[in-house]
Amino acid sequence: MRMTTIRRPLTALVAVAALLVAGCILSGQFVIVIPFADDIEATDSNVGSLEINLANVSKTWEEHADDIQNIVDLKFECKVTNNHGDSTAAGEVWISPTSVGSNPDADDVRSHEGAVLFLSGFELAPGADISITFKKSADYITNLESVLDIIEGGVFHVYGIANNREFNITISGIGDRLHGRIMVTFSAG
Amino acid sequence: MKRQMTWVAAAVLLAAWASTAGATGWGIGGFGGISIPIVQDDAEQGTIYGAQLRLSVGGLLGIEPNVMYFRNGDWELDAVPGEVYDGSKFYAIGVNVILGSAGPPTGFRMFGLAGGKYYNEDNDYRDFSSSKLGWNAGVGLEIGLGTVGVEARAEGNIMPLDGGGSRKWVHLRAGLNYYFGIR
Repeated sequence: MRMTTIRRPLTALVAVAALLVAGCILSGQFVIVIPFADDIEATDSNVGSLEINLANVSKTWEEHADDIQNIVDLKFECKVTNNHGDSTAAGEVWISPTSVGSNPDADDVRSHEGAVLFLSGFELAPGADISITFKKSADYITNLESVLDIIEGGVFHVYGIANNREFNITISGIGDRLHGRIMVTFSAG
Repeated sequence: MKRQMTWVAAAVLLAAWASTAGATGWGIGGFGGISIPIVQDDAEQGTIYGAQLRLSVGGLLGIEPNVMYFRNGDWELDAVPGEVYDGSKFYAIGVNVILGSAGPPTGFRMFGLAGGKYYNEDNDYRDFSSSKLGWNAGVGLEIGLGTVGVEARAEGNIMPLDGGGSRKWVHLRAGLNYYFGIR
């Protein structure tokens, strides 16, 4: 009688523990690198952008799309060039879960609901450029938690602007990379 | 024949286990080994160091408070040649329940263990730090040389992550235990 009394809760405990352990064991930590489809050309009156749908560009993401548990980290790799001949550009990269619309200007990006400033803090002299590696991008990242929430949706828009009245910048690839890239770390199971 | 040998081996192991089951006392030990990440793209094989107390509570049961430091090896991606990223570093403090006695061994004995750990993760690359309660289980073998025991063990560790998912490792380690209060 006593054994039965003990055995039932023990069996239930073991079953619950097994489920918890199984859930954890089947999960994993994945890292994907997503190249942009194109460069981003942006001026103060016409901000270029890219739409990224992770399921379309990453087989790993597509395979785990239904069981993604957490977006752990995001890093950026790109070259930002100030094409303006006269003024220094304070570059910024924004990420939005939805499109800001066609032919937006910088103010449209900043005021768009849900848009989040992701990279900032690099100043470019007229005609100068800066190469930001994944490792170095940590120095310029802001609002990471908000951006990770956007990435979890799987579809987002990337905008490059400058915090100047007039600007003309290009976001392209570093070294022999054709275009910029992002690195997403996520857990799934 | 093969079946008979299996039974003989099992009997020898059981006898060795039973002969030390009543040993009492306590010991301290140190260990080192390798930490093998499971399904972690952002980790390579790393190292582990630590120390433990081994307290026999009679019969086959023992308690093993422990502290350890381990790290994931630095990692890189084929898509990003030339960049190496920092693996996370971990400190953990925990307690194991030992089945198979934690007192001084004579000869050799096998033991099983299960317990919990409070893990702290630090990652410079991600500028990230987090602490979580996880758990571990494993099996080991200890060979007694007087007051000194030489042990080897394999241990699975699971550390849940904020927001879901987990980090998992197999720890393969070897160590020395020194026992006091032998009766």
